[in-house]
Amino acid sequence: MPNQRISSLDWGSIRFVPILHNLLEFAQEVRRQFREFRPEVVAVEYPETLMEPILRGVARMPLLSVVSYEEEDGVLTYLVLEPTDGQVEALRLALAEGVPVHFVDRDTADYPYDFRVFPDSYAVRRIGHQAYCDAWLRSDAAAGAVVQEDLLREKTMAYHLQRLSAEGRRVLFVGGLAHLAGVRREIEAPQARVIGRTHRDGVMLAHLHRDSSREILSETPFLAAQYEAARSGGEAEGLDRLEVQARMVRLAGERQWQHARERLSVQQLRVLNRFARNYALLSARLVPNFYQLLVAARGAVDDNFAYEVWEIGSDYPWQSEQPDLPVLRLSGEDLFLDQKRIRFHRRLKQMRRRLVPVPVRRRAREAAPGEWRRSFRGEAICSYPPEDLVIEGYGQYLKKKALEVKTEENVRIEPFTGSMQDGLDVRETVRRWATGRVYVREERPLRGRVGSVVVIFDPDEPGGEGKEAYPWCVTWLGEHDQESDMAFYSTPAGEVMKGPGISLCQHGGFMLTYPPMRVFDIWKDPFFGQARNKPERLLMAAIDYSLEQHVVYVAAEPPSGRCRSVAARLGKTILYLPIGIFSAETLRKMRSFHVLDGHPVRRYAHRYV
Amino acid sequence: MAETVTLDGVEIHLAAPDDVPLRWVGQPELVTQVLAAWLVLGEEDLPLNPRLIGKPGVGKTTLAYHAGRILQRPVYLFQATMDTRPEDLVITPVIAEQGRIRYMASPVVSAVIKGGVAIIDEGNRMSEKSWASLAPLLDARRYVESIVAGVKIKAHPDFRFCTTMNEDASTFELPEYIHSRLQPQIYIDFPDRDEERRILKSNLPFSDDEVIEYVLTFLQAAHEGDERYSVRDGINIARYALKRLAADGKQLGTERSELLPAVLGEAAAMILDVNAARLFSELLHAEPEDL
Repeated sequence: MPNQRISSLDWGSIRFVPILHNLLEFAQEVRRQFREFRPEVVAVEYPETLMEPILRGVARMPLLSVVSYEEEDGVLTYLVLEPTDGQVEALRLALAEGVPVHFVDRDTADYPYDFRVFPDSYAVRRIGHQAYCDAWLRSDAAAGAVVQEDLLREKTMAYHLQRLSAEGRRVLFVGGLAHLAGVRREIEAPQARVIGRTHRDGVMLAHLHRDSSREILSETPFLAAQYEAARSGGEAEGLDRLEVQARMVRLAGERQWQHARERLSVQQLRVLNRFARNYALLSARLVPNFYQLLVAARGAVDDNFAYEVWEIGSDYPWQSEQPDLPVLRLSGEDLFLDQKRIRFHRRLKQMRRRLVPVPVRRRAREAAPGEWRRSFRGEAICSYPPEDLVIEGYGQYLKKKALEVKTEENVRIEPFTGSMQDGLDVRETVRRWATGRVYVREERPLRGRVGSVVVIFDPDEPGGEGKEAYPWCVTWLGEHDQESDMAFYSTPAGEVMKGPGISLCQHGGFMLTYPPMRVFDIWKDPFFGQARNKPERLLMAAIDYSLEQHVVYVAAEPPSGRCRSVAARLGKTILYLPIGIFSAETLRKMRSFHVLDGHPVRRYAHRYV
Repeated sequence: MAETVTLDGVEIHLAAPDDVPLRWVGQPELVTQVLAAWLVLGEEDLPLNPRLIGKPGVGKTTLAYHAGRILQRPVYLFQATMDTRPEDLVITPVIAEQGRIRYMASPVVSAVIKGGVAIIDEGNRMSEKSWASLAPLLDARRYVESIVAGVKIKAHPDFRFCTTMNEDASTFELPEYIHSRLQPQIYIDFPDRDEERRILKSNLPFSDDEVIEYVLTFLQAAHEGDERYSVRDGINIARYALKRLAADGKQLGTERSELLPAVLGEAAAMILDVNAARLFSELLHAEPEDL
C-alpha cells in the first residue's frame, strides 16, 4: 500500500479515520466524519483489556483521567485520556449517541517507540484530511520499519474489523495513521484471531492532578480547554490552532496590564509572531508549539510576559476539588529523573514528544485562589527595604545623568581663533579636513546641584468614566538620614498579591526629595491645590521642597507652563529629560514595588519577592 | 592587500572576515533560535537582530559565530568596549601616506557591504551614542551613514546582525529605541551535565576522563549554587591542572592520583578565587554518592 494513492478511506461498510494521537485537527476530523457517516458501530485502536477503565475515564470528561497499569517487567505504563484525541472523541460521540463501541487493538507489552516523523497536523486544516493521509502514505516514512509486533496488531485489528463488517453495519474505525496501510493490507485477506492477552489485572483509573495537567498534556491545556468549550457550543470543528494561540497571547497581554501596568506594543507583538513563526518553520512545523511560543514571548517581551503566557496556556479549567477517583501526579521531570522507568502508553505514537524545560521562573502559589488577597489588611503598611535602596540609587543616577546631559548640551565647537578653549575637537577637525581649519571645543558645565527628582511613567489621565489606573496616592518619609522622602501615585496595595501580606504595585509616577523628614502629605497639602493632575502635583512638590537649584523631571511630555512659572518664581530650574532616553528594562524594574502588610512581613518577604 | 570598494566616489577599505576556532557544542535549540531570528520569507520580510543574553562564559559569542557559519556567509566579529565611538562602528578616517585620508570600514560595515554576519560582542559595554549610529541599520531602513566619509551605505540583502550582552551590572543603559531594535532576546543558560561534558571534551581533547569528571562536577555544583563559574573557567582550570601534572609528574616521579586533588585545587584558586578552591576541595573529599 505505501507509495500508492488511496482513492477512498472506505472498505466495505467500514470507514477508516486515520489519526495522529492527541492532536486537535484529528479530533475535529473524527467529529466531522462521525456526523457525515452516521456510524452504527465505532471501533477504536485501544485493546479490549483496557475497555472498562477507558470508558469510565471518557464518561467523566472534561475531567482528566489517567489509565495506568504495571507490566510484568515492573514498568509502569500510563495512558492519559485527553479531550483532543481522535479516539477519545470517537468514544465520547458514540457514548453520547448510544452507538456501540469496540476496542479492536491487541494488548502488547514492550512495544518499541516509533520515531517516524509526521507532517504538522495543522496541514489537515489547510489541505484536508484525505490529502494529508495521501501525502504521508506516499512518503518514505510510511514505508518505514515494521516490527513483528506491528504486524500482529494490524492482523488483530483487521480480524475485528472484518467481523464487525460482516454484520453489515456501518463501522467507523478510528486508529493511528501509521497503521492505515498495514490494516488495509491485512483486511483484504481473511484473518484468524491472533492469540493474545484478553484480560489484564491491576488496571487503575486515576484523576490527573491539576499541576500535572499543566505539564504533561500533549496539546497546550488552553487549546484543549478551548476545544472542550467549543465542543459544548457545537463549534469544535471551526477551532483554529493559530487563532487560539493569538487569543492566548492577547489574554496574557491583558493580564500583563493588570499585574504590571504594561501594554504589549505592536512592535513587540510583531517580533513575537515573526520569531515564533520562523522558529516553527525551522523545526519543520507550520505552527509554533507551546514551548516555541514561550521562547518567543520571552524573546520579544520579557520573562514576566512569558510567565503570563505559560500561566494562561497551561491552565485547564475543568478540575475537581474532590475527585471521585484517586489523584495521580505526573510531572515531566518525573519522567526523566525518577528512579522508576516510566514510559507513556506505547500505543500513543506522537510527533516527536520531547520534554523541554519551561523557560519561565516558578513562583510561589496560593493554597486557594484569593487567599493572600483576603488576608491583606493594609493597616500598617511598609516598604520592602532592598527596593528602597534600588530606587534611592536610581534617583542618584538620574541626578548625575541630568547634569551630564545638560553639560553635554552646553558644549560648543568652533573654529580655532585665539584660544584652544577646552582642547582640540578631532572629530570636527577631520570632518572638515579639506578646509584646513582646526576646531576647538568649549565645555560649559552646569552649575548647581539637584535637590528633587520626579519620574512620570504614566500621567494617568482619567479615562472616559473618570476611572484612574493609579488611584493610590501616598507620601512616605525617609526611614534614615540616607533615604529621601518620597511621594507617589500607584496601583492600589492589596490588588495584586505575591505572597502572604506582600502586594505588588506599579508606580504611575514618583517624586524623591532629599534630605528626609520634611515632606507633609503632598496629596492633601492645599498649597499644591492649583495642580491640575498628579504629575503637576508631584513636580510642584518637588520644586517646593528642593533645597538645591535644580529639579530633574523625567516624563514623556515636557513640564507644563504652569510648573515652569512656579519654578521661576521660586528661583529653581527644571531639568527635563524625555523618558525614552532611559533603558526600558530599568524603568520597568523601577516601576514595580512591593508593599508589605506590617514590619513583621519584612522578615520573610525575600522568599516571595 | 585589504579589499576596497568605491561608494559614491569614496574609496573604502574593508575589514577581513574572522576565521576563528570557535565551535558550539550541545543545545541545538539555541542555534535554531538564532537562525529563526535571521530567517526571512520573501523580499518584504526583514531579518530580526537577536540579542544573546547570558552570564560570562556560557558561550554567547561561540553560539553567534556558529550560527553565522551555518549560513555560510563571512562572519565579522566586533568587540565593543566603553571607549567604542560611533565612527569606530562605521567608518574611521586614518591618515595615510602624504597626509591623505584613508577610510577604513569597521567589521560591521564590511559585513553590511559584503552581505556577511556582524556580531557585536559585549554590546552592553558600548554607549548609547555609539548604538545610535546603527539605529537606521537595525530597522526597516537597513542603511548606515558615515558622516566622516559622507556616504550612505545600503545593507546587502544577506546582511545579518547579532549582539551579545552580559547579565552583569557594569553596563551602559540602553534606551528604548535601541532596545526595540535588538529583538528578540535569546537567553543562554548553563548547559546540563551531559552537554557540559561534551563541551569540555571537545575543548580538551588531550585530557583524560578523570580530570574532566572532576571539573564537570565542580561546574555543575557551581551552577546549582548560582555561582558565576562558567565552562570557560572549567576549561582553563583543566588546562592549568594538566600542565602542572605533566611538569610535576616528570620532576617528582609522584603518582598522578596523589597529585591530582592538590593540583586541581590550586588551579581553581589561581584561575578563579578562594571560594572556588574551597568548593573544589569539598567536592574532591566528598563520598562518591554525595556527588
